[in-house]
Amino acid sequence: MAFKSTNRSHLRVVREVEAIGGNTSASASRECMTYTVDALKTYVPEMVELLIDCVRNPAFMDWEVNEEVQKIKAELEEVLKNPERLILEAVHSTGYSGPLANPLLASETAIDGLDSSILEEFVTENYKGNRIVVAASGIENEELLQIAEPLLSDLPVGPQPKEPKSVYVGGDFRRRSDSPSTHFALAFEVTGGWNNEKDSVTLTVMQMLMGGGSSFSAGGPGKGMHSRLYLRVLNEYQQMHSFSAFNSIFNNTGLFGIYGSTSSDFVSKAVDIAAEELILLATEGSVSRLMIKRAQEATKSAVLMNLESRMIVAEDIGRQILTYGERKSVHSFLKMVDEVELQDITNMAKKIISSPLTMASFGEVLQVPNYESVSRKFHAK
Amino acid sequence: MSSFLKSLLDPKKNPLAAMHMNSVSKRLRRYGLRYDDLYDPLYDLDVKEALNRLPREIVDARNQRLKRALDLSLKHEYLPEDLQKMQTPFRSYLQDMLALVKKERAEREALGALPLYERTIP
Repeated sequence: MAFKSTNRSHLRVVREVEAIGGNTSASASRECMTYTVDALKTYVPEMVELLIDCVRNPAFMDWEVNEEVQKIKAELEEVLKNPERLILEAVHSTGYSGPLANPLLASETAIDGLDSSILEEFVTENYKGNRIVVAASGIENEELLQIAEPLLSDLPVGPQPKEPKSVYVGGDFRRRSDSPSTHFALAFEVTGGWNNEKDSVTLTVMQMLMGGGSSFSAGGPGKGMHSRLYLRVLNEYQQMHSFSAFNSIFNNTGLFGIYGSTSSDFVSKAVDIAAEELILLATEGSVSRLMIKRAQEATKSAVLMNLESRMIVAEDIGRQILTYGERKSVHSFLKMVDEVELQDITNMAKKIISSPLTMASFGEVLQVPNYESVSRKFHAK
Repeated sequence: MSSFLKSLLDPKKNPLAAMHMNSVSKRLRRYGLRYDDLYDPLYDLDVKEALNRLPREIVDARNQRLKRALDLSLKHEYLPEDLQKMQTPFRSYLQDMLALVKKERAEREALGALPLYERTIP
């Protein structure tokens, strides 16, 4: 519903965006909502005005809301066919209790109850002056200020919201379905989140270190598969379709885990392998300096390559201001990546696996080992 | 100019207009219909789009009134007197939405976009 009718009709909004040759997009995540417009530099006043209009004054017309709800229902059905997304959602909902557990893919009952009045309430309650950040890349701050200030200066300042705490609890999620392959994920909590920069940098490097992916490689057998999980797992066991490490970091907390999908008869062994990998990460001496160096270089290059896109730079500025209150330069981040030591990774891994396990599986769940038995493996060490 | 025409047609100013309004109101009340019920979605596709956008209760009420009127006219009867007194033939539910739909269609045409729906002779 992001760029639909405001006081201008939806057709007019679309035509205006087309007239300046721009792109609009909106995305929602657990901790922030982002509205993006990008176009040529000469059209900055039009872009900013359009963006602020669409953010501040959406007129949620009933018929448009109904249409969108239909589309979302159709999308939900599509997503059920993509088990990876489902499993990631499940890991978040089971692992956390509190606001972080609210799923990003809405449930059927939630969608049916959606109404234009609910959306309007949400907007008036949450889009207050002290919670919006306008970020731009490619123009000077003064120029942006000059254009955006008269449009936004009368936005009421709401009360500083108390961020409700979410607690990590861990848990088990299984969904049975008749599919030829079974997908599972094991995850643990990482305390600190973005607010603890050192830890979040270590976590990112760790994820690059473990890496992994699907067993199909586009360049030919074995090309590009250099990360630890690739070398140790995917190249050894043929029944694994995909095996990778994932992480998601929020403001105060984070998740790190391994996601795998295998053919259904191999599942219990696969879960054991995943558990072993995580435990091995926490033991001293199992990771070589070379691997860490590779992971550091990969992280740095990924960050720099992403920052070449102006859109991502603008989003990054906005997010950093929302989280930290200021924007840290790329160099400080790169320096922190370089400072990650072998000992940091081992310590972090030990801390991670001491938190309760979250397990999620989809497919032939009867073959997946018991939550208790898997959890015991981590605590025995 | 337009305000002069409006006062020509205004029932409060022009006694002829008042007589016309009374007679229309009497005829509508006899069958229990509102003026907006007479707009036919098959005749004008804008009416169809406006009815699609209205909330379900209003469209259901409209359809029930139409069914009741059809039934009465079949039996060559009028609505009972006490119900006739309760009718409100000029209470509008469609005019605003219809104006919005027409305005959107005009804007669409002005911007050069193709129309969303077009009249086809069946």
